[in-house]
Amino acid sequence: MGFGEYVGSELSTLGFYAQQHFLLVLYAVAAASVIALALGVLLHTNELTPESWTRKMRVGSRETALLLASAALTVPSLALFGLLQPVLGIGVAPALVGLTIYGTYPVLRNTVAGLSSVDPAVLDAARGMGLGPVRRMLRVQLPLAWPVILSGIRVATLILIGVAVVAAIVRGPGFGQPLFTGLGRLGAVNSFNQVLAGTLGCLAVAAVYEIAFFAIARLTTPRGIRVR
Amino acid sequence: MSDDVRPTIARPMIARPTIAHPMIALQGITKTYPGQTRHAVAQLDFDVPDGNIVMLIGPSGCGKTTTLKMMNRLIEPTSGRILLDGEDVTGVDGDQLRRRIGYVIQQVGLFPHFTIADNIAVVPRILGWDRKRIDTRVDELLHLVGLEPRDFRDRHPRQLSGGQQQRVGVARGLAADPAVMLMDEPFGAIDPITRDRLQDEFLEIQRQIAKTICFVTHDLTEAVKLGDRIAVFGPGGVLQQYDTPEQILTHPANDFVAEFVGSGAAVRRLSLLELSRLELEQISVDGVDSPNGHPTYRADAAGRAVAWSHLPGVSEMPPLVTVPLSGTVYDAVDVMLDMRTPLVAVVDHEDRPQGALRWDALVRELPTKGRRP
Amino acid sequence: MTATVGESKVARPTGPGSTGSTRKADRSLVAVPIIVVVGLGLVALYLSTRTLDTIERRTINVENITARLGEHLYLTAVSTAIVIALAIPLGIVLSRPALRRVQPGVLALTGFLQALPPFGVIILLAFSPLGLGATTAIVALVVASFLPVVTNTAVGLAQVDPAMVEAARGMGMSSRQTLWRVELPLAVPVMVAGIRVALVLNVATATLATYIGAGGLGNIIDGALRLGRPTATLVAAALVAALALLIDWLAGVAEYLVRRRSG
Repeated sequence: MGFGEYVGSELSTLGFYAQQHFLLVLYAVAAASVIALALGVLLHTNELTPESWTRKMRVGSRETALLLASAALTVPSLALFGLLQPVLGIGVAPALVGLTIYGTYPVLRNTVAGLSSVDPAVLDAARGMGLGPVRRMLRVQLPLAWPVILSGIRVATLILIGVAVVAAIVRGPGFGQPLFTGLGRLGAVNSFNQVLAGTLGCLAVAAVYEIAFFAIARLTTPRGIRVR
Repeated sequence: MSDDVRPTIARPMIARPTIAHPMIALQGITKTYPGQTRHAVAQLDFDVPDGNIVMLIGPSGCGKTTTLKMMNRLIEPTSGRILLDGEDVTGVDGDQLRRRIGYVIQQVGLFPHFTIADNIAVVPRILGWDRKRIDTRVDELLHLVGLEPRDFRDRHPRQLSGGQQQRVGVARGLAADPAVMLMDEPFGAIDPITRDRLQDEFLEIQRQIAKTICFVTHDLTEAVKLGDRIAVFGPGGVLQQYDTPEQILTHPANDFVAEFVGSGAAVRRLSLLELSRLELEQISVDGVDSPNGHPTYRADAAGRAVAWSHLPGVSEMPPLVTVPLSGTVYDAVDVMLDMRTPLVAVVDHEDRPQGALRWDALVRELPTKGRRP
Repeated sequence: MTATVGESKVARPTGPGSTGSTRKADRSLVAVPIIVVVGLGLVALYLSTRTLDTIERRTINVENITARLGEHLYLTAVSTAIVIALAIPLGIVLSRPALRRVQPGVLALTGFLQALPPFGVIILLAFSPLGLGATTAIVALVVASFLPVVTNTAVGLAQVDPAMVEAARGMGMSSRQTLWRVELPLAVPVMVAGIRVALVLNVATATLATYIGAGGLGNIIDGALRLGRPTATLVAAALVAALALLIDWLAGVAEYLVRRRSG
């Protein structure tokens, strides 16, 4: 059976995997983004960290968070899921938690980079006009850092689409499942098609996300800071 | 550290009973940055009179910007009191305070993601003005700073030139109609020609709005041109002299100010002094008044001076040379040397003579008058 | 597993490549070994409180771990060497004026291909005439870690100050001499950062080599997971994590030294 024929006959199954894969990544990226944004904003805004913290502690805590997040991304996914399995068992839970851990670093890093790239003069002006720390963050810093943060979320998403496959080792949902089954039936009828469909399926999911990110970037980037 | 300095230098200069109603008053303000033993500003008493432009000037690191930023408590003083229009604001909420004070900085700091109108409307929005009032105010301010609202309202900052951006910066500072404006080298990053024009416009605006303005600059020419008063700061944030531009130029309080103002070259001061600020020698048209000691001149039909007709104590009339009121003493000297004449007629923008300036007067003492009588 | 793949792209908005501050690198170079030692210490502590059963002992023993570690390092080293040999010349070619126009497209494609699962690539290659085994795994690793090195080489060369190139040409250096004596030396820090990304990727992807019979430390994790032995899973996973962190750390040290030398 040719690949096209296989895809045609398995369309509903593949669609189901695609949906699972898409949602798994969506939830993980959403969770990672919320965590990273909250952490990034908290660690960035001097006013929001306790008054008693010295400058060194503020910078130190920011760098520690970045370091831990990047170390987590360095751990091979198989090892991470292996570490999570004894604690969280198998299924959606370890998959989701593992992916969330992976997704945090790119978003956190870009949140910190984006927030610190805001022109100090703009912040000085904002402060001089009487905008408090919360208003400054919500009205000025976050909107200006947003394109950078969004590109971090996009990178996290693309990474997670690839990593999500390995989550099948702990019975996570998505295209990892046909890959593992295909591997287990190596040489059997359609096993190659199954693996190929799983691999290309990831790219299809990535394409959907890329289009979504393009649209989101267009819609959410303020006109005044849009490139071109 | 200031104990030995204050009584001799600072105190006599600042105790000015002429200030009836200070809009801003700093009382015994000291700022010491954490981890530093030297004061950035030391025991400063400073009054800014209502409706005046006060220029803060001095070498870098002299505490002029620190002083400015303590007025709206962007920098909190280590000790001392800040009074705004008689009210002690040392302990009030800093953000609330700053909404009542205009703030304009060198880098402008417009919000790049806001339109020009939104940039100007920031403080009025926070203060909860209704939309119509904000729109009206925005247009009014754009007109005031010479930007056509229809063309500029919906643009974004990066579509504007540096000079245009700073016009918007000034408009934004004025948005909520604050009584006080703080300006930190607002024209410092703008090319000389545009800067000159902005300064002229700024004076024109001030004539209309009569705000109390504190203005940090490092440019003596700008300080003399714009200031009703100039505060010269020295090292360690000590106020060296606080006086009118004329007094600063002609009577520096001490060696520090003298050196700062002129670097020893008296000629430089001449170029800072506009003729309009001088008490000129009275002159009259020939035949109208009897020549009772005033120089007289013959005029043409339009009232323009043509030639000297009588100069006390001079038998041979020199050629009549005119210098515009808007010129500086330096221009007058230049013309006198060039034309080999001991005096020039100073004329207004319609070439009508307003008075004369003699070479002798330069060598004696330049009589100046108050800036805005 | 994708390690710092995102890094070169992530860092783009504030500064191209991984030319972040060396001071920050400094601090993480101290911190990572501490994390590894503490982590392994915790695992050892946990192990000391338990006795391994026979099945667990069959995988968690010194000989087995050493053998799998050897395979793992072999796969990583060979694939990384091949990537360096192939990807750097390609990156250089892409940065030449003639091809510079296609560069943005290639870089965008690189970002997209991050979503291509290395696991899928490995299994697909097992269906090829290469079949199962180490060779297939190495080819898969090369494919998976190829792009970061190409990207960073191209980006590193692209960000060399054009004035430098012009000055070199103005002094009469040929374009070849300019490349070797000016452009490449200036691009080395960014290129090394790309190699580091590839190395970490290879360490990570090599854990999956076990699924096509090429061994490596993934074998222990997979085995423990199959047998449902949480303790063994934990130990094996911790070992792999430690290895990845240590290799990334070593690469980080190398990167730091290179960057310090080239100012």
